[in-house]
Amino acid sequence: MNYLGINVSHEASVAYFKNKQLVNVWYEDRYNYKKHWEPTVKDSFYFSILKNIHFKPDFVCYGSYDKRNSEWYGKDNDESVIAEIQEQLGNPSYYFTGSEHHVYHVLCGKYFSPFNEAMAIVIDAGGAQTHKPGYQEMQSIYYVNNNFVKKLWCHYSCRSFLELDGTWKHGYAPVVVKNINGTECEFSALSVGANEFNRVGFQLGFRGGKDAGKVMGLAAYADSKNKYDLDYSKVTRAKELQEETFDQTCKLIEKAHKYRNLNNFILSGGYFLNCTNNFKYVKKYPHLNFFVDPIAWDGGISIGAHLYYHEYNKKC
Amino acid sequence: MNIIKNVNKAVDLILQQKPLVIFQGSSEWGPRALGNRSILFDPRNKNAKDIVNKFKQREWWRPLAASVLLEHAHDWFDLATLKESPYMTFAVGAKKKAIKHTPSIVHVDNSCRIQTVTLDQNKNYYNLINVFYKKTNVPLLLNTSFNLAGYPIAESIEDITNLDIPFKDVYIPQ
Repeated sequence: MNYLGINVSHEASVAYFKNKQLVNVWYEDRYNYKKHWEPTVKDSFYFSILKNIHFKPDFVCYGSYDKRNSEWYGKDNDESVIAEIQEQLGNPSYYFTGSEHHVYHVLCGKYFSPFNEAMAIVIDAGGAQTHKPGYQEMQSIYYVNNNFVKKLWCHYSCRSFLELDGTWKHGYAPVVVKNINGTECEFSALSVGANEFNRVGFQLGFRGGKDAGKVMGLAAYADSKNKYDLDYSKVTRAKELQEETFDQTCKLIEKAHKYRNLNNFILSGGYFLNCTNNFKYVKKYPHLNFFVDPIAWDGGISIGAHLYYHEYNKKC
Repeated sequence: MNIIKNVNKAVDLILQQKPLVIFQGSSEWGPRALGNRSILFDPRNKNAKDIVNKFKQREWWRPLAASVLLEHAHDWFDLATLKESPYMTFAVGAKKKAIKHTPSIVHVDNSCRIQTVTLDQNKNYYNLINVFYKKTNVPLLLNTSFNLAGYPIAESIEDITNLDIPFKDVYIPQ
């Protein structure tokens, strides 16, 4: 059986599974040469599929950061974009739900990890609006083993939408905690993790989250005492950001450890491209075993979507 | 474009302080170039960071990564409790040896994002670094992704010939 997993958001990717074996992963931007490309209805053709997929797939699982809401995303909402890609593939059977972005990150990390069971922490700039429109999942804690995955805690924030439009109709929201189907859920307007990198990245004159690596690189100069020809106010802000998000993540690691007392940790989501802080967790928690998802950015969603459907029976 | 198929000739070009592209198999599954679509440079050259950042059109202050043979990694870097870093997901501490002999891959805070390499993980890349090690006593190479700033990693060999890329020496292992 030939299966595909396809990410239809940024870092658009195609994962090809033959039966249970991952054969290859292709990034569309390496074919169309538009970095971080994501498909729209008008521009949805995957050259990576044209070049590499010479058969009609038996089944396709789609993943996204959740653009289901056509009120916000207009004609480029997920279902419309997927319809275009389905046509390119010859309309095979498929599965899509926009609400499981973070669990796809977890399962991608689990696939590559050496662990049979682990706690998983996902942090990114904003994923699915699972429970409340406008509130994206930004941080979450999962338990995962070889055939079972459970979301234990999640933080949803409306920050991205506040940033887009200061008059956003829901206004600033207080932190609200709810237990939804056994998951402790927090709803807030806080900017955290990769979302904060996005925000501060723009403030520093970069391209937001796309230049997060530059912010990290700059932060390292903070102790160089004006030795270099750099704007040290920016350097200091970059370092503060590294420290703030490190502290936020440490709180999640400690919270996760309390849930199940497991020492194996999988870290996934775009924030964990932060190699500098990744090593600081290793140093701070020598009794824990950390594995960072090698495809922590949204490119890994194509793998996770396939695994969720075929190996975890769509249960979280 | 100068295609090199012999590992010794490839290492000789690095020793001549030329950037060398290694191009093999399919591109990496993640965002990091891990020896299938990489540009390599001699890490001992104290000006390497400036040279590489300039021809890649990156800011001068940005750090560059390294690929190191796993069996030597702990001699050159402080990995704390990590056994390996095969996917280049950690910026570890550089030890005195690395700071002294390979300054171009050590960032201003004495960190370095490293990929540990074994024969099983990537045979051709391991062999290339190992030949460099035998000639220099340095078991690592400067490794940066095969692209220019703002562009994705090159997927096909045609990308090399169709685009105006200033990397002329390409090692394609046999």
